[in-house]
Amino acid sequence: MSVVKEVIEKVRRKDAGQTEFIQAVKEVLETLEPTEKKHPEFVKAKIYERIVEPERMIIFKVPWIDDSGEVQVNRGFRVQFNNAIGPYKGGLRLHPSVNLSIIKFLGFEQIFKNSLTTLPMGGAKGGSDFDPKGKTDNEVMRFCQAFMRELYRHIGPDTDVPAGDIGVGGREIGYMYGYYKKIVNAHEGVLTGKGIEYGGSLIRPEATGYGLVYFVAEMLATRKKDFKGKVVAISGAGNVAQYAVEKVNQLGGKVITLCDSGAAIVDEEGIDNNKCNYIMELKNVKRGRIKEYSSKYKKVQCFEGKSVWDVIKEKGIKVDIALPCATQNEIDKEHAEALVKNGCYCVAEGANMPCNLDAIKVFQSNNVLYGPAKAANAGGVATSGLEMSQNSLRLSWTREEVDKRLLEIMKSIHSSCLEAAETYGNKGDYLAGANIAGFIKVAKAMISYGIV
Amino acid sequence: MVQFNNASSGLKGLDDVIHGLRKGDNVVWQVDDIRDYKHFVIPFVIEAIKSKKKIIYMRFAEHEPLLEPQSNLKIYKLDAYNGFESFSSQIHKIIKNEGKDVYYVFDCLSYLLSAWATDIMIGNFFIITCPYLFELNTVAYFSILRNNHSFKTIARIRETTQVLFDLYNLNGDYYIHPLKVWNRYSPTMFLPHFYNSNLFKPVTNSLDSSKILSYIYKKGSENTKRNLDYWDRLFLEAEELVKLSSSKVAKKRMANHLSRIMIGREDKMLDLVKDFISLEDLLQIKTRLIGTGYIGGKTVGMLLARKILSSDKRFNWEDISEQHDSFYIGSDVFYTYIVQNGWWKLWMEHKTEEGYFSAAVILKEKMLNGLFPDEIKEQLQVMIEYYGQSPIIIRSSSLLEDSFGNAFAGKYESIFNANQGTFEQRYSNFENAVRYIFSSTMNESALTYRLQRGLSREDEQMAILVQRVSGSYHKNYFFPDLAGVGISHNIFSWKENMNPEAGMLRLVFGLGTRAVNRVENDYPRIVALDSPLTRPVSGIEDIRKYSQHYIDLLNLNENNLQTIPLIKIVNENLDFNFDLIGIRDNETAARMHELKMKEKESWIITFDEILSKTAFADIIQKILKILEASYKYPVEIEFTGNFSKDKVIKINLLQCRPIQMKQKGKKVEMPAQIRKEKILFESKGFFMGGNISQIIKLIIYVDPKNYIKLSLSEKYDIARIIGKINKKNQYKEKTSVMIIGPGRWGTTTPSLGIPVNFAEINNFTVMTEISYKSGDMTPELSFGTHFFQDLVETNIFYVALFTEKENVYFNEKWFKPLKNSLVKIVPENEKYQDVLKVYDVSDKHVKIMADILSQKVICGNIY
Repeated sequence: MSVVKEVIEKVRRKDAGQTEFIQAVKEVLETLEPTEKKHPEFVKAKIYERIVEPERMIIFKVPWIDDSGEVQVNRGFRVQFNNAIGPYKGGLRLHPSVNLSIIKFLGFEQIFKNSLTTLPMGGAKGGSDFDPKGKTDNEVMRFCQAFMRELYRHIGPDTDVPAGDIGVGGREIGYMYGYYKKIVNAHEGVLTGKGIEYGGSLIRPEATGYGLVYFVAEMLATRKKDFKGKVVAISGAGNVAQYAVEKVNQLGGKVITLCDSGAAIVDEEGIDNNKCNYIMELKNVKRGRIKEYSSKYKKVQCFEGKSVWDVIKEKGIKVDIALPCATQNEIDKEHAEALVKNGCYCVAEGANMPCNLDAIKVFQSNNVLYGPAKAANAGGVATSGLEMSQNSLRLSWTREEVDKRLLEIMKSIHSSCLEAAETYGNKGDYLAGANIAGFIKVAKAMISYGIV
Repeated sequence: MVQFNNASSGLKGLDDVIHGLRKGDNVVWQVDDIRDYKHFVIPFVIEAIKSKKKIIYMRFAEHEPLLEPQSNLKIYKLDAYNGFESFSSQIHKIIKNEGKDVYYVFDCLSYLLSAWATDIMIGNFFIITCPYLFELNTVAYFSILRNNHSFKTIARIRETTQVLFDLYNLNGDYYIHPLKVWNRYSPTMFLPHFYNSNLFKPVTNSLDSSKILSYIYKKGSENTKRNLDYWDRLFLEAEELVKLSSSKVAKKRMANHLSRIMIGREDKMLDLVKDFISLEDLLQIKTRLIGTGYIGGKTVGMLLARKILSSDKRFNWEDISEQHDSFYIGSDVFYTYIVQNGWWKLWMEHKTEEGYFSAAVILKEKMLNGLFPDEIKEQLQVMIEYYGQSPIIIRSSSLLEDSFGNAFAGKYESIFNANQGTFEQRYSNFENAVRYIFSSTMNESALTYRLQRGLSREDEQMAILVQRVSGSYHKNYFFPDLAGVGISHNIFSWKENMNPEAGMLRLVFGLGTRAVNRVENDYPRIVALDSPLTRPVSGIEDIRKYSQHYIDLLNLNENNLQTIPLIKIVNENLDFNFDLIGIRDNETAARMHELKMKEKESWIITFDEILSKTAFADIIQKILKILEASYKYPVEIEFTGNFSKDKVIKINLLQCRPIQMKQKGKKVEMPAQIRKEKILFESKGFFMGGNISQIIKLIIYVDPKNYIKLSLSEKYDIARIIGKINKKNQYKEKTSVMIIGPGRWGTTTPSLGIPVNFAEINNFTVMTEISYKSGDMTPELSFGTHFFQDLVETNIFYVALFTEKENVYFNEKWFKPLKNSLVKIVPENEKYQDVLKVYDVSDKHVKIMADILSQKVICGNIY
């Protein structure tokens, strides 16, 4: 039995009941099997056994008082999984479903996501079973302060830098940061996702969308292509999709589709910058539906109740590049076959896991460039790292500077993935390369430290 | 072509006078006493039987039967109290089935007044029945009691019938005075005739003629009341009772009688009306009633609620209420509209199974273009003059709406009328609005609804309520500060410690159409009245998403109802205090600045200021509780609110009805003893969406044991497949689907439930979450919170099954005998058959029922 399989078994026994964590370990470690042979030193140093064990898990009580004067008690978590390559980094989730298994699984995945960005960030995750739904502003504030009252002693700009996640948005980050600053008496980069006014980074909303397109540009370059004149299908209509459209336009491509849960639109003339601005207004300001785009621009076709991929399949629309940015498993086997049939040769994931396993197999067996989410949508995570960098430098970069660094990061990610794929026997397989690339860096750092 | 075959009255002398009856003749006898009519019916029938004619007796009046059962005589017993339409269509059907050449005897038409109360409807009945009889070459005997009907009605009868006799009994001597004998003439035909020893002698000498005719004339012209419809005379009588301070008993009796003809027929509502609505109130209603007939459910609900509140001494309704000055168009106008535009035959066709939908299409078109009777037009014009250029709303107020057990909400039309322009333009627009509402009775959705509830044959008498739109002018816009729907029982308690008894609201800024109607992508503020500031969502992003983005208002420049983006309204420099209803959205404003939009401000409608700093929530809760106590049942209200400069609110109560139930028109009677093996699940509490009694045709069940074994990616596949099935079920009313799954529907963490988005389940009818154990974990059920506002807006019923609790029963074995149709519906997903089960239960008598009062919900083979 391979070491990886043994480790998976051990985790299953030791952490029986932590279903999500076990599943995450299985899914990640299985992709790392090729590294066993190439790195006997990893086996010897028990890197695989060590990497699945968090550095520490802090579980603490969070007592707070609600608006009616009643005392409430929640449980807080911070799982600091691995800081081999940099301070712990990962979001805080406030949700009644939060428990140790989920936090461990998210923290474990974060190690590799963060490592892939090539920035010095370890992996961690935290949160609480506090339910922000139905709480007043004051109650949320009191909770956040109570939470930070314990958490502060475990975090720091060089120790552990939490960020937002489900249930933790700008408001909560503000409350937590304000309280941290009060207790510690220091204004430092201990949280990311901060407002611009107190240390946040520019182009945060744009980062994932821009990063996706930068990654794709690198992918295309491997076949001596670029975006100029290419027809691009994008799904979704949120931030990722919107900024992906903007960046594709800048690089000379033509985006012809978008969708939301109600409809898909096809604009054969291309969604140019003016139209993209309209989408941004529609979605971010007016909170409208994508079908209104087809009322505004007359030559646009609107397909109610369909996704972009349904439409491409049914109408045989020719596209060169597909960037799914809507939701998980939106592209299934039939969609994938249709894309291949209609000339698509490059797919990169802007959303998390938008292609199901069958679709990925179709792309891989048809020599379609496939950029997995882990790598392609790492732009958001990377910008978190850039915020940390700016905080450390006590500087605020301009949009252009941040964008430039983001571009470089995405290039690095791309080349790491490609190299790792080739080195470990899966040339051109970005999916295999992404996990391995992230792992290798962490593993090598862990080797350097000896047994700690 | 008319056939001039002779028929007989049974009296040779009479036949000689009028040259015999003819096939197609409708013969009307105007009499003082029913026995006089009977005297002439009997020979007619005897002769008919002798001639071997088919003879039919239509029995419906309260007087003694004209004919006794005998061979060769068919008797049909009819109930006029079922309403004009039911009665007339029953008669129409009988006539159609019996066919040609039949002889008919009808009971006295005047007795229909006690059921219908208006001459105009009797006239209408005659207009629609007689021509049909004429076409079928029948001979029909009718009678009316003298002095019971207005001149106008008599004129209409005279115009329609072929033969009209005035019959007098002068001290035992009969005089017959033919007033009309179609297509026949003789020099003495139209003189009074004295009937003696089978002979009919015309009274020819002037002495006798003048003596008899003046007696006749005196009989016929008692007083000026004959210019009035029976309806008006009844109300005059009522006025007299009030003026003369008559006894309480007399007034009560009159009030009950007037209620039965003007308020409605539903006993429960009438009981409430009896307790609160006085004779004076009814007279007041009459002053604002156009036409005659019922005022309809919506109007009754509104008036009753206002009266209940003003009667409650603990509550100062007068101080907080906005007065109303509504008008009502009585339900008789609807039928008169159909009859007098010549559409009754088509209406009858629509009442058949074959023609129910097809005739409706034609009728709908016609009803958009019909003419109103002159007397109605005059009254409508007076009303339009009264309102001037104030915006008004014209609402359907059918007999079946808003009563106990009838969920007609949204099936008929309401029309906002900005009411600008010249008098002619305003009047024309108003008439069109009324036509539109009348024609909405022929909308496919309304017809389907009635058909599904077995109401297609019932009278759906359409009255109309005309109300002044509550609100104020803001530049060229008109709208209220807030509007909403309140329910006295919170059917969407989303937290365990919420008290459903406290009630809930759906609040909007602007016209209440956005609170009443469910609109895509726009959300009213949901308020739990025991905790008004608590929201079912959290975080500014969700608060922003699940808030109102569009406003309905009246644009007076363009003279219409418009839906305007909130972003436009807040940037129009209206003289409006937005702080009262919302918070500034600086984040979006910054985004707008980046996008170089011309609008500068952005707001999120929250109503936090109103809910926290004014007495509004308390006031509405009191209103709901008082009404609920009187109705002895949870109620639903529609209202508007307008604030004075010092934040004092005035409430305009627009509607009130018992809480509506999904699907069926009857109160939920929870089944008593059902065998355990027939039950799929049963629970006490933990459901949202009000009362339900819904047949289920398809169940989608995600097997928890097998679901948790799936990989992350496979779990997402399940969500997407469910979405595909959902898309195939676009017409929710046609196939009611229940989804049952482990954990939280809509979670982003697939280990905690099924990660669907709302668009993947929005066509389902019931959403059920089951708690299950996964390793160490029992994920907390979401209570629909992932989609809470969407659930509320799309009326999806929600159940949470906490299987570990004592009074919750979930019977997984119930599925065992059923076949999984997953592959049939979505063929490419065979590999998930053990996880995702799709059961067609359309022939298994499966129903889900829930009652908010007992807090019970049950599902299984229970009907």
